[in-house]
Amino acid sequence: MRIADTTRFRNIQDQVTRAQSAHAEAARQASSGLRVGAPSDDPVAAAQALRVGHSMARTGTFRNTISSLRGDVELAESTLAGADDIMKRLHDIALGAGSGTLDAKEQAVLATEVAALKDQLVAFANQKGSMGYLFGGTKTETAPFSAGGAFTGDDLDRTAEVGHGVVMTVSTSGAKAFTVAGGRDVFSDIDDLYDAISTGDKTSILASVNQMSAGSRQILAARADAGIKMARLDTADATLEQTSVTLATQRHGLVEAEPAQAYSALAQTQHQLEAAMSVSKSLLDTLASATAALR
Amino acid sequence: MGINNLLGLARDALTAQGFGLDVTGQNIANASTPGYVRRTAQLETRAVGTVTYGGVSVAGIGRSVDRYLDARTYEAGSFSASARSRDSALTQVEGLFNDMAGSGLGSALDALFGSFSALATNPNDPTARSATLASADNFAARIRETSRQLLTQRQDLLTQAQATAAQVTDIASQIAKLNGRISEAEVAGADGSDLKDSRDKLVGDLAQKINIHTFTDGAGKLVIAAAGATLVEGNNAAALTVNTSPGGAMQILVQRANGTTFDVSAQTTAGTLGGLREARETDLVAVNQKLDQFAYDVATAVNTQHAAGVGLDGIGLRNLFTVSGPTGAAASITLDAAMVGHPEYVAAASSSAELPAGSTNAVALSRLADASIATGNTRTAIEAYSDLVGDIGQRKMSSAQDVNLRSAIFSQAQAMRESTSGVSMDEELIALSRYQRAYEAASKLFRTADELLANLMRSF
Repeated sequence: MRIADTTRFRNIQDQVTRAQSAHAEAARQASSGLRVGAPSDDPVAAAQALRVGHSMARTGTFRNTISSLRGDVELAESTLAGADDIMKRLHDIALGAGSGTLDAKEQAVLATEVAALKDQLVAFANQKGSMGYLFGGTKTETAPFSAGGAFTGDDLDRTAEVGHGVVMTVSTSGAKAFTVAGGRDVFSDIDDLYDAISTGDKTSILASVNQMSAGSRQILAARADAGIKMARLDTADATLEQTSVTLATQRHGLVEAEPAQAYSALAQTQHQLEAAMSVSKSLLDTLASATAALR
Repeated sequence: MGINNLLGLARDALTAQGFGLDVTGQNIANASTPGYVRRTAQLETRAVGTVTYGGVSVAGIGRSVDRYLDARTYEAGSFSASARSRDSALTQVEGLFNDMAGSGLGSALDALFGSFSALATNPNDPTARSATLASADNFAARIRETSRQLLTQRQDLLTQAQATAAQVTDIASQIAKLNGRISEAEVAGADGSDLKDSRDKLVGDLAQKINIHTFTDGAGKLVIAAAGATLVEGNNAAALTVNTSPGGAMQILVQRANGTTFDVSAQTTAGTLGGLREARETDLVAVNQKLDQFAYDVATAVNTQHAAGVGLDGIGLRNLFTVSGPTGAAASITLDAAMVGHPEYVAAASSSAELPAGSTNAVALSRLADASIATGNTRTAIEAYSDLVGDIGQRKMSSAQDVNLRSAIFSQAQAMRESTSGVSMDEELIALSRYQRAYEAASKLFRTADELLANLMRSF
């Protein structure tokens, strides 16, 4: 085929342009670390990377939820442990008061202690966490128990999503721990014990012994429930941590460039570019020397 | 026959070789002139009647063209130009949806569902409620902005098409004028090669703008059909205009001088105009439609769930977004006016019984992220969005591949055409030497004849 000069020049230009754009692409991959820098680089991988990225964001959200909830669940658990200690002490007082004969002064001392312990239990039941009162159900803004122990909260669950499709109750029921909803109204039982001790009514005191241990069991059950929630949060978090590692690996495989590959591609395209430049230079020299023959 | 004839031969030879040198000079001078077609000096033996004197005469200038190769080059140029204009339009669209470079809606979608999740954790925290409103507002704003940019681009493509149509009209009228001058030149006996060079270059330029078909009619007039309708016929040219149909679609019209118009929109398949039209009426329309559906589906699903819950005031049935559609959803989506400035209206609780800290509805809102709420309830929100981005990526990838393929074909067609019509400096240098030597030899012939005559004269 007859080759015109314009054809030669255009071929040179085309080759250098091609080598330049290949080099620029390799440089982009090596410097950004991304094999897929725009959807058109690999539409399937880019679309999948979006979904994986979304799952990563969701996983992050769930882990944030867990870490912000864990504190309150832990606090509920330890508060109920303290409440249980009080119930045990009340049980011991009832047992002691029921077994011996007490004079009026001893009765008064014990009654005072019972009253103080009740106040303390009310304080525990009105424990506040980072998001309001812990034991009021969804009524987190007002103290769920009056000074006398009357319950003004509710027994509704507060829920949160702690994993893909995993919804769990994150509140610990104060109603079940302290009121008839859990079996016995702990505070009115304590009032009964106070009255029985104050009046020296042995039969009632002995009845209170069982009530105190029933109250203790009730609070322990609520505490165990909080403990199970903590364990569930921990398990969920561990699963999410694993998931986020898997997702990051997946995303890496989809859009990120292998550094070794990226750098070798860069070196290769650089050589190609240099070759194209030197070939074009020698072609131009040939054309120039042909023209020089004119002189 | 005799020495006198020898002098005549020498004269003819000097003239002919001189002409050869002149043509070679023209070729060298115009080696890089766009549209220049290589000339050849056409020499022939001089015949006077039936007697052979052995002289040479100049028959004219040859212009090395191959109409078939020209037509192939025009067509390849058309397709190359359409691929480039579509690709550059798609580059801009892709830029709007490149989540890897920080644009796109993926992060706004993540933030929206993330805010529902944070709300579920702490439903009566005013900050969490405000954050939910802010995320919803931002999500709507990002979609509106993307939609606005697409609309701007749609307008830009129309403006570009109008500018291109004006160029087509201009080129067509120049071609018509040149056609007139060429026929005048031919009537006057000149060959009009330079005029033809200019005209053919303009035809090549025209092919870059719109798909054309050229032929010569029975009367020898050049006829150019653009997208099937006659644009240039001899020295008459029609105008090309671009406007929009009542539905907003791009219309490409050929307007004859007598006022008749032809709608050639559907036939405009190549050239810059073809690429602009495809980008605007096929690619952008599809992207817009998908974006509308995505915005509509997400907003509707969120609204339905949000209306099922109650705000801190115990009142339900409130929408989080205002959206119309599905057509036009992306342009219209906003945070519902009643919600603006009222974080307490965010429906985290599912009933007034679980106020203030009930989170059942917030959890349900957050779980919409994993529910098939989009594309006819078959895809989740992020899946629908990733489908949209994948589709754009696919379009842009194929347009980029098209550019490479089409420009390689164009390059090849140009090389083929130039192998007939282009100037090769090597060849011209050889021709130069050839004519130079022949000219020198002719001078020698003249001198020899002259000396012979002189000797003859001296002998008298």
